[in-house]
Amino acid sequence: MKLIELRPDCEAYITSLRDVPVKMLEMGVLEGSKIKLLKASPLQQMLLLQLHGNRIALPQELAEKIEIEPLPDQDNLYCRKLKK
Amino acid sequence: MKNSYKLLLVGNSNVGKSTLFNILTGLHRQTSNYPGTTVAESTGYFKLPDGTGIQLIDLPGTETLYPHSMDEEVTRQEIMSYPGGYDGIIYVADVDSLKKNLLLLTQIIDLKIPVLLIINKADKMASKAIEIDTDGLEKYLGIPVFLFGKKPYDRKEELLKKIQEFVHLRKPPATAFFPSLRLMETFPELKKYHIRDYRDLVKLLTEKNIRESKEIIKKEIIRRYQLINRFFSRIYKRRPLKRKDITGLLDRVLLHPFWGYVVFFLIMFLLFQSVYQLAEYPMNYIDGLYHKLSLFLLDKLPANMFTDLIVNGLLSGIFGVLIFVPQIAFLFLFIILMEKTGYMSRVVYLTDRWMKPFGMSGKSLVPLISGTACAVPAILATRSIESRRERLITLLSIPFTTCSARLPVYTIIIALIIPEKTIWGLIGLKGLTLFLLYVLGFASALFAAWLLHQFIEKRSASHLIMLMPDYHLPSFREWIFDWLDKLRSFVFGAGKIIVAFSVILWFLGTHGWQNNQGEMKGVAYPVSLEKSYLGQFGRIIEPVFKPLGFDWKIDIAVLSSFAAREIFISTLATIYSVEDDQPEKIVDRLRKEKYADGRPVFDFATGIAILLFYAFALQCMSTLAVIKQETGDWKYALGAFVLMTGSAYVVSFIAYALLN
Repeated sequence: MKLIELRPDCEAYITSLRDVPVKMLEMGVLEGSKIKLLKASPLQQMLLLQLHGNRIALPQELAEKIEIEPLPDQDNLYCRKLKK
Repeated sequence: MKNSYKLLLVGNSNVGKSTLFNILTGLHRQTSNYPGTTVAESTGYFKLPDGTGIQLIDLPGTETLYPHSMDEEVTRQEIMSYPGGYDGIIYVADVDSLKKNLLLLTQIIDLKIPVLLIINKADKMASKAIEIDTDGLEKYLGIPVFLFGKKPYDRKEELLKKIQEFVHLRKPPATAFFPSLRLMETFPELKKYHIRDYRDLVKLLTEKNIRESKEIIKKEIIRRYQLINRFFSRIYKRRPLKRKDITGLLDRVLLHPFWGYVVFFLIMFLLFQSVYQLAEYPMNYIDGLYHKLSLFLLDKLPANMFTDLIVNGLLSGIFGVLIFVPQIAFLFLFIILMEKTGYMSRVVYLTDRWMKPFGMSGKSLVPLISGTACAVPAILATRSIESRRERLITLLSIPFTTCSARLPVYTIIIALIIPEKTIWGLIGLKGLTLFLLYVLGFASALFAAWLLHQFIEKRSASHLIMLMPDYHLPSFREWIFDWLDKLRSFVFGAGKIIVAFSVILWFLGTHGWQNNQGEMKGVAYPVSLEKSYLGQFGRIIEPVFKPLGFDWKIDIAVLSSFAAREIFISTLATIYSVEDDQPEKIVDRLRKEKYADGRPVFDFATGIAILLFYAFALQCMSTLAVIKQETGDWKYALGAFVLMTGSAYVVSFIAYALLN
């Protein structure tokens, strides 16, 4: 599933990145990294992620390019549920 | 052994480099809790315990050696000037984002530059449940490591000893992350470029425009993180936090899609109300002081031209600016608090989406808000915007925002034409007018940006990717120094021009071609104000500004303020002091000013025309010079001047015609 589909307060591993900007890699958004979605707002079109203990703001447009796998030991029914 | 060394202070953005720079050098460089505060290098000096002198260069933050923006390019060029350019690097990392900070550090290590790692903000380790094995880190990186921060890590003496040890040895790093062999294994496509070492690779990717550069940079970053991951979990432990995360809790409100904006507008509204209402008390005090001082000097000094120059030339000009210091102080206080607490980054997050239709990003908002203090540092702050297009749009829109130099003009004119009333007993009408003028400035900036967005060619999409700092309560010492520094630069920066202008205007207002004797306050003058150089010139240009409702005295004040806006009030103060017998409040004096037919010179229509003229016109030489400097082309500076001043004339003309 895509990062954009993850629910707030859920954690996931990044499984693949498709044509993302260099800046994102510099921030440590890499395949295999564990991330937590802190905030998502369709109105603001921004996501707030937690990665390596830091908060990173990312536009939704880029979150579309990040494939993730939610962590198994959490409420999958909630975290996997598509937000559409 | 040399007795002085040059060191660079390098690190990612917002890790506390400038704070460390201030601690070591004793200087007071501006610091904040927002990435991109330092946009140009600055130099300071300090001595080590054995007397060795250190020249320290504080550089803008950068994430890697591959720059995205102008300020990052400054840092890359400085780093690459080794050997020869400097003797070593003090690398600053943040305890919270150490892993990310190691990316640039490993690149510096591969350039074989002597480097000392200082892990800053170490005091946060306890509250964030972080443990760092510094000995292990020293072993893996092959460089010395030092923990520093607030209590109990405020070990300046030990830090100086560590730097002393480091500069005398200047040992290149013992390890290499990308030795030449690994370089070729990782990037086989580089064989055709005859790369010998990592320095060659950086030069190739940054100085030569090769097709594969983006992919090679991405590959290098991924590979470096893999190499860092191999040892990082062994030296860095972060246990889950037991207590509530304050930043997270505050973000729930301050980044909320509804409440976040409510709080933001409330803060802005409070700012302008306090600028007007709270500042009134110290302003009245300064005004009273001016009166007492003027009367005292007139009483004690002999009645001659020199006394008149002191009282009506210099004193009225200087106090014409000093009286607005309380208002500007409130404005700076809010801006500094927003920057230092980390709230400014939240403003960027909240506004990014809304800035897009205007060709800007959330990052543009910080320079735009800083522009309410002064356009010059705000234009320099655009250096941290990665996209050249967004940067150009932002820097050309900044002069529209209401800078502090417009504030004295607004205050006086509002006092003249807006009644002393409140709405619902709470909101002062004068404060509300001031707030609306700021909104107008901001709306004009957005409109200018939107126009530029339509005309400047778009080459590639840009995205806001930003590290959000933790909220932080600045110490009293921390913000008071920045606050005083900003105030000092306003008073002395504007003061120099104002003193010079006041003297020139006093001369031009008391001398002329005709030897017509006039007499004021018992002092003989060569000419009266009307027949002075100033008066004659005012009469010549009167037809130009007549359609805006300005008389010749206002014309002189408007023209002289093309050097700097704040001169408007000091010019009016000087003109009326030259003419008047008794020193009195400038507002009271202006209110009494009448045409021959008895109409007030400063009526509602003229007042609004003046306000609108100052809201739009580009009357600041420093802003023009800095636009030229940052764009490298006079056409942008001249274009901005013609368009802004032209639109100021048209808007004021329409307003006066409608209201008169």
